[in-house]
Amino acid sequence: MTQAMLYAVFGIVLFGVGLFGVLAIAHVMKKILAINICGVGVFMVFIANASSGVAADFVPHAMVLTGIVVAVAGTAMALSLVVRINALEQQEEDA
Amino acid sequence: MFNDLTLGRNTQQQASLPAGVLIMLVLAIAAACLFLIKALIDFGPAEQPLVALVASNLAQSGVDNPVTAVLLNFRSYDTLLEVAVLLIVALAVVPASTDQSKLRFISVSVPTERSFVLEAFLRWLLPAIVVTSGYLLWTGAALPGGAFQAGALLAGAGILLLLAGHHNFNFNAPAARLLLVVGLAVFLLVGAAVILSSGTALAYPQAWAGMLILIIEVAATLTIAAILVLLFCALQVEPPRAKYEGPKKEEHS
Repeated sequence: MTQAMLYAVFGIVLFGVGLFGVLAIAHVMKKILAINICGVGVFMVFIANASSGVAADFVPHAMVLTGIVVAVAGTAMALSLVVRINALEQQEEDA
Repeated sequence: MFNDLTLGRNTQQQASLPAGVLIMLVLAIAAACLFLIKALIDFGPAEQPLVALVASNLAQSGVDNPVTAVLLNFRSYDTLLEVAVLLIVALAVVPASTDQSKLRFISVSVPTERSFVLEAFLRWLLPAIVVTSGYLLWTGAALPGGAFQAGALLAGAGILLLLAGHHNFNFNAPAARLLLVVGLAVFLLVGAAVILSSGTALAYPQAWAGMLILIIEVAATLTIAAILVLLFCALQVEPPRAKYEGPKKEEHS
């Protein structure tokens, strides 16, 4: 088992941990964190596979770089929805 | 700040799953992971035809760093759409204010709580961050670095500035709106303008490629920094009112 393989295996494990979080935890914030852990797992598998040959493949590197930014954007979007839901629930409780 | 979110109805409903279901879930996910790991090991090292392809075309890309070449030349559609995704998220979270009274992007105010350590540190740190960000942007042509790293660093400077409390950003100001769109606008303009010379969108003429990529990256850096700071600003929520009005409510009822 090479070092790259080890990273890929633990990427899969991270994905599993995140998946469990998404399915088992009801709290919305923790769900968002779990989705992020899933995403990190996917990135790790992708990157580790890119370096399993002689030279590292640059295309997955660039795609993961893009993916990280999109993940940040998605997380921010989800968090803003959480804030909005929270505000609406507050309103409802006050009314 | 998110510690204070109550999500009241959700938290009441969220009786955790019964233990049996949880155990089933863990077993199912463990089985799926083991299957994936087995598949990964059986699959062996992947063939990488793209390595040679990138290496043989690197000279035409206008930059020496293969990752930057892929990001901004060979697969520039990806990066274009990524900047577009960032702009969409920015539009979704930008405070919907039509207040015309404060049209300055950056306003100065006296903070209620002062952190002298942060203030003193910022005087040293901010110029260093701006210079480092510029260096990262420039070096992205040859070494690891580029628009996203530089933009993230600049955004960090902006967030530190916010935390020090002397400056506020108003993302409804025209200057801020310009910063939010300049990355996508320049990218689209350059991508469309090269149709004149090469006949294909986003296919830069070889002689100009390095310069065009640098122009796109400068604009993208500014936009990424602005959008990341905007996301930080927009997600700062007031603590829930119910927490403080709690005792009052009890009096009413």
